[in-house]
Amino acid sequence: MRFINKCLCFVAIFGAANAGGPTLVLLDNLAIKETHSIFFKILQDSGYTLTFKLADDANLQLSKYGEYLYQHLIIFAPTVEEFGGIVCVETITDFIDGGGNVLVAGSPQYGDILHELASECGIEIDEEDSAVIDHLNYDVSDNGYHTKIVADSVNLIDAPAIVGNKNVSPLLYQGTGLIADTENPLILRLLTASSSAYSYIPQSPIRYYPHAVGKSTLLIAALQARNNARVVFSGSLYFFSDEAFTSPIQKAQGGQKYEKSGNEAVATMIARWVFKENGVIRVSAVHHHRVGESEPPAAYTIMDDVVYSIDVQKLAGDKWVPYETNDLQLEFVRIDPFIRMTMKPVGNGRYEARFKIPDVYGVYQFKVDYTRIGLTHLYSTTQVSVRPLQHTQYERFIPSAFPYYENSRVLSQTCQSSAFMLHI
Amino acid sequence: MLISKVPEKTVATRADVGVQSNLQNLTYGRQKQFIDKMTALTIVAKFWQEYAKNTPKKLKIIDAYLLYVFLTGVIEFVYCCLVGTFPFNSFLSGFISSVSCFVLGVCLRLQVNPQNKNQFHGISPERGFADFIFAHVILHIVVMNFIG
Repeated sequence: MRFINKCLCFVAIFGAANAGGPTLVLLDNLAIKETHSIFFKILQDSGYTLTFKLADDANLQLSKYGEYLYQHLIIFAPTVEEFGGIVCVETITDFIDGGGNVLVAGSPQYGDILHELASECGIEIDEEDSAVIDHLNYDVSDNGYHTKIVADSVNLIDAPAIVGNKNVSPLLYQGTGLIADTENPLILRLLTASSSAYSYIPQSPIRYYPHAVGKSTLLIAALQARNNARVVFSGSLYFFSDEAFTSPIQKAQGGQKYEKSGNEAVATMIARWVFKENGVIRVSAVHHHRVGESEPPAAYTIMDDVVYSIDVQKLAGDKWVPYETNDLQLEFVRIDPFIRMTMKPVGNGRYEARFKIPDVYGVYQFKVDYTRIGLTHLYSTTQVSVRPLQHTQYERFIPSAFPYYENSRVLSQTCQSSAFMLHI
Repeated sequence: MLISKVPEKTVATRADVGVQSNLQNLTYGRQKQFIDKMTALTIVAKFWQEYAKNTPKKLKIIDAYLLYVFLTGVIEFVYCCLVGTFPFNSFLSGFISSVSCFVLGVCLRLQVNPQNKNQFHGISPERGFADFIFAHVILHIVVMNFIG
């Protein structure tokens, strides 16, 4: 029964990884549906079922009878002060803990609830009314505050799985800055501002040092949680708008003019990534056995030669295809790794490692722990026991031990002969 | 009788030397060493004589056996120091068989010794020897099992 449960769980986890799926879109007002229609159209065309609701809709709910109604959540409602229905920050973090993916976009005017949600995810939104300002890289259409900035695509994260090709036109961005703890390994800096940017209230003179300065100002940040749920925060709702998608882009200070900004390409790739169309890998099979055998033994013996192989697959569309790489490592762990080696790809997504079990017995694990930016966390452990040699497996008649053999033989014979003589 | 006289002689010598050595410390020291050696030798000789005279023949045989077993243990240990501990179980079982034979031999000697009769009354020497043999059988089975 437990096995069946595990199987169901497995199916549920990887079922959720498939492209498309029911998606809830929370909006400030229904006008956003029109101003961001291209983005929503792209999602609908890729198979997502979008349910648009106002963020303060009184009937809002994410789950019913303990089941989530949606796999993904888009919050394009920067100014909402409180969600309607039974949705609050806690339900959203529960949703993330349950494997749901969330895409959030803010703006300089945002409600406390977004701030709270962001800090639950390890991301800090700069204070209200502040915006990212860049006096060197602003767009020609800027209104004089230098807040409509041109973000170079080189500032995108180095991960094709998330942002796709980095050779795209610059990106238009208008919104607030984000800050993230540099120590947090789960946070990904998808897009940073250029070194001349800072985040402050545009209308007021600067009285204190800005919270976010230069490259530490994040424009788009992501969290891939330990359960592989993905959350993307963008400080700019404008980034996803039709206007940003279609408008030409040119730096005001002598920049090259591009007919179309790179927003559409990058936003599409980010949406694909956050909703787990891209960068999803899994282990499909694990095999291990002694060299020359095909089935795993009940227990290995020390110094055995072992073959371990693992099949890794990648999600492509709605199919799992072999995942090819050359940096997959295997550890053979008994509290500490006794062996750590890079596995050889043998084709078709299978990786193989051959090694000799160390001369130490105990309970070991074959462990594959593969963490790469933009990919889901691949983690597989297989526990095996390694026993010492059996009594009959030891080496016999070692030349250097002959004095010992001889001694015990002589002693026992002395005893025997004394007994024998007494008998006479 | 000759040996029993020797201590008197040495004492006399020492007294003589004591008179002379006020001037010659060096000579005194040499003399003292000589005397100590003599004393030790006389003690050993006396011990040996007493042993040869008063110990029953059975116990002498057991003592010879103990000496022999002790020597095998020492030789094995030296060999292990020279060659290394590689077949450690073999070394252990060889060495332990020596040690145990020695211990069992000592036990047998205690039981057979007529001086200890009051401690082991009711245990005849034959019974002691049977125990010795039985313990040896067990010991050597274990040793053979462990020696590899």
